[in-house]
Amino acid sequence: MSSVNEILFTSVPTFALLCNIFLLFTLITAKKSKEIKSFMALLVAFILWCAGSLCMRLGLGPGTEFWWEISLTGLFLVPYLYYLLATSYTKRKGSFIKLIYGIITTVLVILNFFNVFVGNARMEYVDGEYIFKYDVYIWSLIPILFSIIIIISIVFEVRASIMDDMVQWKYIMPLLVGMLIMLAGVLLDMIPAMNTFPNDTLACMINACLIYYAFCKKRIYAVGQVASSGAVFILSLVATAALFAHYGDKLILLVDNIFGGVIRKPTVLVALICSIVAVALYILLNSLLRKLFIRESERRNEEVRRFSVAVNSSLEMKDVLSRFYQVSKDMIAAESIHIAMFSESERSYIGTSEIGSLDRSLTISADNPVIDKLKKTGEGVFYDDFKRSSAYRGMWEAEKKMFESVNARYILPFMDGDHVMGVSVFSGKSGRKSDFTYEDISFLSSLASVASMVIKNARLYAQMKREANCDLLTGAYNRRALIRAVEAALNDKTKSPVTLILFNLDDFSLYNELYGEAEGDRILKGFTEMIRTIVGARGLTARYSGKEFGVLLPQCDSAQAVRIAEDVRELLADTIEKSPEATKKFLTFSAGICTYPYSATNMNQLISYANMAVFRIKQKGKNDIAVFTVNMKDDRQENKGDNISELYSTIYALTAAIDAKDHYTFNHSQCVSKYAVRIAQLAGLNEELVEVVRQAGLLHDIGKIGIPDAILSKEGILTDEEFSVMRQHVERSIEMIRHLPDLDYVIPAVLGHHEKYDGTGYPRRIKGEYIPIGARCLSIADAFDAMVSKRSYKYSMSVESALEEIERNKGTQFDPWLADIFVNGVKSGSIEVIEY
Amino acid sequence: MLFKEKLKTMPKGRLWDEYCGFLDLELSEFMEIQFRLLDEQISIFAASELGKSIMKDAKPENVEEFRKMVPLTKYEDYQNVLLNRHEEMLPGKPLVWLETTWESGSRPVKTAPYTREMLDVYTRNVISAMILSTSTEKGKFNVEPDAKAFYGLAPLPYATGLFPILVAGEMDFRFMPSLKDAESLSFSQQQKAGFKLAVKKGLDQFFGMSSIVYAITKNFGEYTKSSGFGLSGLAGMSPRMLYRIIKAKYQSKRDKREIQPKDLFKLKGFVAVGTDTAMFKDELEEAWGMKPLEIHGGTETCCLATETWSRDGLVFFPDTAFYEFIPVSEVLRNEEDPSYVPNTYLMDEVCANTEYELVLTIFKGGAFMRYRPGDIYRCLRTGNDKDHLKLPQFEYVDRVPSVIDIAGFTRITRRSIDRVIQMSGLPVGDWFACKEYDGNKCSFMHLYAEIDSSSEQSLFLTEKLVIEHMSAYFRHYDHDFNDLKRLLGREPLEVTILPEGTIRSYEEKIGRNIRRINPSGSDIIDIRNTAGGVFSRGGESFVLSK
Repeated sequence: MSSVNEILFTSVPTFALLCNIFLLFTLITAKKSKEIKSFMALLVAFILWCAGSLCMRLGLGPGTEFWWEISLTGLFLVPYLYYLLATSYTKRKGSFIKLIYGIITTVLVILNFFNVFVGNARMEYVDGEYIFKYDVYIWSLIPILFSIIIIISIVFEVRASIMDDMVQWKYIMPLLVGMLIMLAGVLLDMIPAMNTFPNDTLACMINACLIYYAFCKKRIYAVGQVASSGAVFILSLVATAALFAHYGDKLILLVDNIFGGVIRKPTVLVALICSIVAVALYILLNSLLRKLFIRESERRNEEVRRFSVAVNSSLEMKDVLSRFYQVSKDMIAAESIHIAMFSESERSYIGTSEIGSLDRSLTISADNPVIDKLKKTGEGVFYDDFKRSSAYRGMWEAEKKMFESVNARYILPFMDGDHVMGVSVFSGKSGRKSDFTYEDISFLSSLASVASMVIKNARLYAQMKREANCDLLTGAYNRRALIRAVEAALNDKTKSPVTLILFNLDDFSLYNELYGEAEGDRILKGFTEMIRTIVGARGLTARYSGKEFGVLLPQCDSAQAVRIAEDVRELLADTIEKSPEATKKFLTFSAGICTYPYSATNMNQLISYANMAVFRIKQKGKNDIAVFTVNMKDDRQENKGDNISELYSTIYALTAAIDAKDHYTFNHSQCVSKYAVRIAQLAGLNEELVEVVRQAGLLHDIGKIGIPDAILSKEGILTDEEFSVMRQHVERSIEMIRHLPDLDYVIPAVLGHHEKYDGTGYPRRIKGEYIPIGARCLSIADAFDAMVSKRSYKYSMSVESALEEIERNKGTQFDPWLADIFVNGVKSGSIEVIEY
Repeated sequence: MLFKEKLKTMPKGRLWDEYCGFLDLELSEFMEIQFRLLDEQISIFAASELGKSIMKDAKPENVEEFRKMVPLTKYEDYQNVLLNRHEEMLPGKPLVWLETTWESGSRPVKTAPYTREMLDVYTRNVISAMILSTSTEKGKFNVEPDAKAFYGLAPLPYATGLFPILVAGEMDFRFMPSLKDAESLSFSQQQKAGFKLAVKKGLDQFFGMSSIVYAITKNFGEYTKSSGFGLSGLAGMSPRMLYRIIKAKYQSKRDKREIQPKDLFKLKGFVAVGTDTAMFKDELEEAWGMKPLEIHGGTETCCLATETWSRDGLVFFPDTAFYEFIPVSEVLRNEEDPSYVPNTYLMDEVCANTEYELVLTIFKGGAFMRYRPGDIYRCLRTGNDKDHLKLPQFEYVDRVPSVIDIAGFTRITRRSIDRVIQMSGLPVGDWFACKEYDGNKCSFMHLYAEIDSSSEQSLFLTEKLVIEHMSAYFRHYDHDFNDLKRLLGREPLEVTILPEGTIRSYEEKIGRNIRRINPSGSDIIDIRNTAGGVFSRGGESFVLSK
């Protein structure tokens, strides 16, 4: 029978040894940081210490002396390795001291092999028991003193580290407690009365566990890694081997006694039993540890995987967020989770509820310091930590209250590179364990990474979808989206009556000609905003074509639509009024309105009739709002054929009026028109442009109708003031032409006929190619006709002199290319000079 | 969590970051906080009735518009609301109203409201200053939650009176005397009682008006005698203090010198407040063994700025107020022509070695917007490589030239002197006054007055008589003036009688008028020369040969 003492001195070191080996193997799989490496080295020393002690007690070969030296080597190494662990754990440097301590430790270990400190280790059989004995020499005080110095150094380093905020007290405490327990264990062994228990190995094991605990607490190492298969397998093998070493002989005897007659070689059966025990132990330990540590971790990994699979197939933001919300709520027992996504238009992160709808209880502005912090780190932040930062000083009180109201504890971003696409705000966890653990943070980070990727895709998809239905310039819906919406509204009986307004900007091509396309684009955007402002949520605004906008108004009759159109007109007028350039005042629109089912019976009719109403207004002088009536259909049919002839009769009537007003310029308009047309033709302009030039020529002086006769017919030179009035005829021309139906296209040519090629003309002082080509043709024709005709203030000039004058001024007043065409044309006879 | 709990549970490094981390801010980060909080304040202020009256219909969208649209203000702009305490017109609900004299009592008592949020900021900043006062290098400090603290600052309703109340909520400081006992004592009694207790129990933290601390330091021997150096004072004395007293007595006898504060007290923290602090610092360090940490603020403005561990320049807190700075040249131009609107500069626009008048917009629902409290600061540097600071550092110069501030206690203006002269019935004709310092660095007001020769009194009026007369009326008129002589140990008023017509003839000679309050130094010297007087240095009044 083994004595209690013997059992204790074998079982405790065995258990300690197993524990240390097990911990060492679990660390093998971990990422090797400085701390982990130091801990592994310390564990090796512990293993030497315990293994030496155990083997010595078991009386294993080569002998007590050998295992005694092994055990002491481990013991001598422990202070130094503990120091290394403490310095790496507390992030202290002290490399010189480390070197000194390392040298001293090496010397001590070597000296120990020569039995300088203790020696004559032996097992003595006293009173029926094997007692381990050894002699202690006076020199043993040296390693003891050295150990005390190292302990003091460790305490000093720890204190300095806490002072420097390198490590927190709560993380260092387990290490210090472990060190004290180990010291106590060694010192107790030195007291004879206490020598009946393996205090040192027990202390060594407890210390190892405390260090392990500290590592997990400090998140240097995840506790779940304890249950790695390799570590469990090694542990099972070692445990079985230890059992066999201890009970092997007895087991063989037992097997021999029972199966002696049946089995010749009982060792085979014992080996089999050992294998079964090892496998059973492995299964048991594996299952136990997995239950303890891995199950939760695996469950979380599985959740991340399932979440990833589920959301990867979705491109709907609502769906992704809803799933994120559910999974994180299930796995992290947070009392509440709020998610807010970035809204470009509001420059804020707007809260979304569990089901994806807006929840404005959490609205974080884009310049909130929290967002900046998330942007800088790219990781989640604990709100309490953030509150202690300087950035928190920049928070608004309302923002602080908002975060407090949702009990914010942890804020996790959804990142797209440097951009924070959204944030999820977790409140404190329910239950007793309210702190977020390392595992919680890891899980949430994984979840957020997956979600971020999918959200990015979902946003891109949403953007593409939006762009497919949107007009890129104005941001309003496009024609396709409008038609689809009209279709849907007409099919939905609950939305009846459905009214369509078509806004058509008057003279917009002229606006573009005068102020450039960039300014035109700005106006289109501004006009879109105006319509949107007025229409609001009552309808859908779309850019129907270049200068035409459609507004679909479900559950709205034509009277309401007229009011909306009038409001838009008022807003436009207000805006134009505030515009600094007076010439912009002519920007107006014509709006046509049609209502289903009263005036139209299907979608095509609705759009077509609204268009008809617009056409009707344009015919009647623009800048009006009209509701479609059946009469308009008939008017349009009648007007179609007469359009061209009506146009020319108008032009000629006006020309006659101008020429009649100034008898000196009788037929001037017609002459200019003819010369200009010839120039245009010889320059190779297309028929359409030639036609524009013809009409512009006829109308180019129409503004003179408004010039007082006294100035128009004055003999002699005009005064500056009179000349200034005279120059106004150009602007007057525009005002008059734009009210003539379908003649606005001639305005650029008329407006520019007094511009000079070198930019010194009027009214806009534009130059070169910026002057419309029609205007450049008119300019030459106008000057030539003026020179060869008699005026109130001058006699007529000869054709040759006039041509010379044109040649002299080409490149300054006239387009040199067109001037050459004209001069050559006259000289060659291809341009016929009209006799007065 | 209270600060005392944080001291126990949190690493010091984290506490430093929380309270003093603003010293690590880049200037751009500092400005970011300023702009954000300005936005908040504008939105709160503009919505209030007071805001509407100050801002009219201005809706500034950025800081440039803010500077253009919102006028610079003085207390007069707020008096209708604040003096009548119209809380419903304020941008935030006040929790506390602080008070101070307005132009040396020539106007009603000025009141300033403080919201809960302002007090939170104030508390944090005061703790920051307290931490810094115990620090000798960045990140190292030694605040004890139960330190024995001597409190030598004016009680409520003055701004400094808030300090112990807010600190008491966060710490277990043992104030001497206790806050409860102090309630029933006058300021000077409070100082004496506190000192007596400090001698008996020891002292860890000292918070005081620099002028008072300086006066105590200069007269330390007398203070100690009356505070328990005799046998009767031994009762209740801690053994440590007894040992220190005996040791200090022995050393002082041996070295034939007076006992110094540092012989008795080993201060952990030393905070000084007041307009003349910079002047006393070196001597206070010599006497107390520790350089005082200077903090600045005011009744309307809370705790605005603190020095750092090196005690070499003030750094403004980023979350107390929005800071604008008017260069002194602009201030003078504005004084000459009140219709002139001076330009202001922001914290990231100030230049080193330049003096500025401070303009404040108080954050967190404060009642003052673009307010000119009348303080001049000099920007020492725009960053400090030695301390690794990226923020500008300042030193307090004085009140604006139109105000005479004596020892941080009273502010005398032209209006208040006129009033006192009128009340005294003295036949004072023309006059000007300025702030001067005596040989002991003690500030006083020097009045240069002409006596109306047509008055019968002019025959027998001497400078001494004028001082006595005017001091009596000043004490009656301004209660702060009343305490000055007792606290500083000297008469805060000096008078020099100038021959009648001296000032006018000087002004005619130079072709301009001189300022009646704090004229330039060259003007004063030239007037003295014009008067043909004989002058002595060091603040003693000079004798004129008549």
